[in-house]
Amino acid sequence: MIYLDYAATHPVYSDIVHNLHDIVNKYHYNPSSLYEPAINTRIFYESQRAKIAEFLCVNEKNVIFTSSATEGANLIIKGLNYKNRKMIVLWKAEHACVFKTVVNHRDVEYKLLENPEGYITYDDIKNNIDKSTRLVCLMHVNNETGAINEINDIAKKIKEVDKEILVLSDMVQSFAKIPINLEYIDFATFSSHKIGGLRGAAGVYIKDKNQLKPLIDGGGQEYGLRSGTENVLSVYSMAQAMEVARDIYTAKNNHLISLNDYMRDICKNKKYSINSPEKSVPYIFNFSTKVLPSEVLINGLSEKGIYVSSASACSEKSHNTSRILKSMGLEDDVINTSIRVSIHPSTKLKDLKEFFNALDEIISLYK
Amino acid sequence: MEQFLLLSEGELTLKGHNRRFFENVLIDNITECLSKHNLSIKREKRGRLYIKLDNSINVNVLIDSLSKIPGLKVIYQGYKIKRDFDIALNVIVNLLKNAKSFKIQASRVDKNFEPNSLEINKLLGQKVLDNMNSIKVDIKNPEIIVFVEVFSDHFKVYSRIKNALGGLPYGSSGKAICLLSTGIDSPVAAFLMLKRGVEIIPLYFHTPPYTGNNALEKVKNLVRNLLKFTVQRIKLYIVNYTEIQLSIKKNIPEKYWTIVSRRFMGRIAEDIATIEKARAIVTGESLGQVASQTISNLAAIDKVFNIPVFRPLIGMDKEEIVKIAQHIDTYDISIRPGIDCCTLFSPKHPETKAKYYEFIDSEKEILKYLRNNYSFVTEVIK
Repeated sequence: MIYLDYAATHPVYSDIVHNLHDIVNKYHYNPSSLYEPAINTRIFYESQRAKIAEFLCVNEKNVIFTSSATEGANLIIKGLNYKNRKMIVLWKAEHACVFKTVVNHRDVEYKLLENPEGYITYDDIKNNIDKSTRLVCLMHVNNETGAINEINDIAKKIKEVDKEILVLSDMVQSFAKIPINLEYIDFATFSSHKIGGLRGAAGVYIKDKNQLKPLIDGGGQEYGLRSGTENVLSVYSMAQAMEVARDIYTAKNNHLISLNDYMRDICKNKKYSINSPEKSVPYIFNFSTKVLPSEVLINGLSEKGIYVSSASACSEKSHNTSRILKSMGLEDDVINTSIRVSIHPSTKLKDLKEFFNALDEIISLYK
Repeated sequence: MEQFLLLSEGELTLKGHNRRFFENVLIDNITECLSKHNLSIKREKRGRLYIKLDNSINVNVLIDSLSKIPGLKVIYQGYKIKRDFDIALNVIVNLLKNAKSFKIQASRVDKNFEPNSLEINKLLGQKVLDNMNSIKVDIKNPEIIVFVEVFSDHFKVYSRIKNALGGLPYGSSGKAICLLSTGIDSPVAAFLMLKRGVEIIPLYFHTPPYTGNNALEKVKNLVRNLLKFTVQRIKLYIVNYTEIQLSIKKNIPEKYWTIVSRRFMGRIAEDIATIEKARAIVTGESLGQVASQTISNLAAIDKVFNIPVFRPLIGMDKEEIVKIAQHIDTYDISIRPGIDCCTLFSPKHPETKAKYYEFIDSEKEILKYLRNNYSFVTEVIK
């Protein structure tokens, strides 16, 4: 089995799996209860928050936990007050949890940013913001291509023009994998299962909690912004995975870059279209064979035990064509045949060689 | 007081000597359906079937599943009560809830009972009018007919609650192989034949990697969805068609890809019909809907068959087909997005008037080494 779909979800690190049993037995109390083991559970839970806040260089009071990054994005976009400013400016290539939440929001207007380079700069934004702008949504790393937006620099420039404009950045694909600076960012979301923790936990950085109303009311957990009994186990796994990922992605950065270079070289030789901009993270790579639809390649690779993804369904009738590839002005035959390879520091060169050989076999069978 | 459902058979009453056979199949199918509810059935006179209910039953769910059994025409709901007109009135009021018009239709099995049927109609009709506001008697076209039957020691009072599917009992018409794809049409064709009592054996041509496990799952879902009409299990054949599909693409002129492919599918369907002792093949073709479904192309496809091919959709418009697909709940499954890899193997400019000699020689070549060289698996969906 060759797993090349780490951007979809990341297998839970086995060391973490190993610890879960003890954690479940030790900390199964409700952190809101008053007896000693419950208080210990609360202390344990809060220490996870502290770890994550420290990593992000923010105050722990500004980190709250949700069930998913999707919930986090919903909390921010739906929880803001749009009384005086109604406009949200967002990248056309935002993840659906931001894109659809904005587009379906009844009380806001929105503008879509796009740039054929495949990432957004401040120049793309400056003419789209004004006194009506409440929020700019710009993801740090794009989940389909790996493209990097210099989000903190962009946020700084936005703030220089108008401090009232808030900036939300989806950091799901960058969290614990590349350096993050939240200095000028108002809201950021991240997730546990993308970095090797359990599902059911995610986090939101919130600079000013007073700006938000909760989506989920109840017992007042998470500073009243997200009620519901705390998911101690998943949050623990997220904090653990964060530490593991931070170390391994830093240590193996050069390895990831060489794997990425290898994929770029092969694609150049084979005249495949390279869809990931130069300015991308090394661990997400998007290209198109222009021969067979993505789904056919994914099926064929799957038969050989190699797992990759694509955002695009090949059918002409398909509704879910890739927004990012479309916004880059790519042709349909590129979009419909695109493949995303997302790797991990443990990925080996021979895995990628095997992947490209399998791809060749599938294509030659059809030709 | 005993609550019951009464089922009336559809066309079975028209059958002569064979009626018993059809009825037995029907009763088996109903019994299977009822076993889930811990209920049993009693055969009554005049082709009626009686189900005694108890309070633990969700009657609406039961009626819904009975209404999907081929061979049943009408479902009545009612009460078995003492021979007492006041009790009768109570249950009639219950049956007439929200109705605007009605009539009472009494009949006496016990001919000694007084008053006679006509008098009962009048008597109970008047009682209803005295007890219910805003309801009228309408002899010609009543919204609800309340039947009152007089037996030697009880009344049966009932009215129609739902029309059932009609058709013939599943399995009573023999077996057929149904070519099934993930599209809208073929599940409808399978359903229509199933409704005519045909035991269907769906056959799906799987073309990995050009069609993936998603498509296979979709087909299984479609078959699973047909189960609710048939009570029993359905055996699905999955043929691995990739090699044939690829050699058609490589050896046959492009404009004939679809026709030749359909001919191969036909041959394989007939092979499987032999294995299964099925007597016919069912397809979802509708005349002129796509290029391969013109008269001359259907004729070219038909040449490979030695047993009858049923095309229940042949005269239907797409809209009519969609309507049935929606009615039987296969539509939502069929339109789920997924790869339509026919496009990889369908000609850009398909031939609409197949000329035999243009593909027959190259087809023979493929036949030589692939005729018996395909693999299949079966899966029982239940």
